[in-house]
Amino acid sequence: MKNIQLVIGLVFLAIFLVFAVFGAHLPFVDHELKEETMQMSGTKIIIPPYPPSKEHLLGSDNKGRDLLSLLIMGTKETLLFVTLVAVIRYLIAVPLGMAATISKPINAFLSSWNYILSFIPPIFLVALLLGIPFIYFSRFLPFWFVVILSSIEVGRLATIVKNDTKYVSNQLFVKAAISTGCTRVKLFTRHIFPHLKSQLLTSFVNDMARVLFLLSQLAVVQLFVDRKFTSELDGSYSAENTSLAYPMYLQSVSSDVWSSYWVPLSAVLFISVMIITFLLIADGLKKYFKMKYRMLG
Amino acid sequence: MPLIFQLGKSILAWMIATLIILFIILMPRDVTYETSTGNVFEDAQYHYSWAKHKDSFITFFSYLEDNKSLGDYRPGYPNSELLSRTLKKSLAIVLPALILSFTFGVLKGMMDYRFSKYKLWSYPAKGATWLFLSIPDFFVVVGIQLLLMFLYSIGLLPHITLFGSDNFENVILGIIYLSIYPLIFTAKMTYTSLEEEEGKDYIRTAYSKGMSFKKVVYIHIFRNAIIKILQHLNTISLFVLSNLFIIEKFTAYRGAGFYFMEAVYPGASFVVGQSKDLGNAALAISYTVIFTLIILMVHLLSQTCNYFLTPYDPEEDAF
Repeated sequence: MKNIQLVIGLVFLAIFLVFAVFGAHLPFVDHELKEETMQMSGTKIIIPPYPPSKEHLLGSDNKGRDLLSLLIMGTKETLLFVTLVAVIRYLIAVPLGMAATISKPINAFLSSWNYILSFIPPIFLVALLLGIPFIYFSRFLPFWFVVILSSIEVGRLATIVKNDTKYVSNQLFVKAAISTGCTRVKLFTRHIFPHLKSQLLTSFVNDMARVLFLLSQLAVVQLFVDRKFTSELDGSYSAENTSLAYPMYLQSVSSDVWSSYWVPLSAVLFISVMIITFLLIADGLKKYFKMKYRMLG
Repeated sequence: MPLIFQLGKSILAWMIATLIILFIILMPRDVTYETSTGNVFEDAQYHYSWAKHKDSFITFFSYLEDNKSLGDYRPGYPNSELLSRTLKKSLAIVLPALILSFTFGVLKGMMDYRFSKYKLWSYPAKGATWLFLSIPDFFVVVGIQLLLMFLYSIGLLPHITLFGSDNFENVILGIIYLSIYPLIFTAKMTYTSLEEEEGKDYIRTAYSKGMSFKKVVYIHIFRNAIIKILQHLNTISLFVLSNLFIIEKFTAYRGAGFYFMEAVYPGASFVVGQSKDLGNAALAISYTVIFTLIILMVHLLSQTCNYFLTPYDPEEDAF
């Protein structure tokens, strides 16, 4: 077994997929996510969040919902969201990057766009855009979230695609194909794309890890994928997170670490394992394609 | 490309980036609320108007011109004071973090390269590098916090304040949290660029003249590798700055990152009838200009170093 990364990564991914698809039917999962407002211990009343116990393996959140069940039920949303953002990014980045290899204006636009964005920390740009009232009050916040998260990194990915395409087009076998009279379409479908495919797949999986990381950073500064406005006692309204995705348990991390360390710890653990899974698969894929195509370097 | 031209390009890009942010910050934010009986929030409508957007630009700059000040954060507490106080706090962790992570990163990379010939060292070192680059750094932060709490609770450590920004240990911990990822990243970049030079002709020549391994690594290879390493300085500084928001939130360190986020994002709550203005646009804009200026300075620094350290014209050397 040479490709240990790929195997471990795929095993973990399989577990996550089982959580995502059958999560609600697993025996130890409370699929209704019952809110337990208090527990009796002898004569004492305990209010949530409850620490880890036999009943709640990972403890509970501040509404008394079982944390393990919440995280397992949230797997589907997390995976779906991360995949969606990554897919949109690549749907735009791949044509853009390829166009940049042949068109000079597009190339100039792409590199200056990237250069300008390199002055703005991405998390700050996202916060700024999400604060625009049009988006802030939108009923389709998840949609806007996906759009913003996809678009801020498109430039970087397009550049990667551009460099990969350039690298492959400069190889001898492409020049040989051109000199033997290959048509443009065939040149692309038969010679360039098969090489590009492997690199694209690798960086796609890599990118899923980046999306999840960014999403977690955003959750720490209290930007949620979806929320509802609930009325407060003083007549104001506050945004309450309604998403089940993993990063959402990080929203009050600095106070939770004191009082209920198990909430951020479990969330961070799930996020980290998922990120590592993606990176392992990416590394494994790279190795796999390298062996398959006997690529150098 | 002459140096002046390169630097000018950076400054131009910086100006455009700042303008884009200014444009978003000064966007008019009037909202009409739709309420049902009893003033219960139903929905909110937003209409953008270009004239208003232009007005807010004019108002902002004329205010600056007339008052020669950035306005007040709270009555009697000017923005400028908040700015200088929080910036001092944040720079106290950002600058050491940048310098430490870069120097120690390069040193670690060189050490990894030096020992890469010994399997006993290189396998665990490579594994650790991969792991540290993979796990999100907030995991490391939460881990360290919980570990310190645990060590304190069993009496192995004196009391350490993990949260806040007033104590000496907060600064030290902040520096540690901020520099972990950039350090490992620099180490990896150093290692790869040293490795890339390995088989080249000038190295073989140096060896064949009887030069020792140490001398070749530290003088010949490093001289060329440092050019590539310096190119990553931009990435590292951007990373440190965006991580500042997160670390300050995690540790309740009340520095520039914390107030910046507060000034930029209108917050998770609102009152019906209230406008969704960024309460303090002047503050948000000043932070933006300063943060991007730091990045610009790093850009200029890395470009200048790159220019003077590269002994050949990289564009001529493309093939």
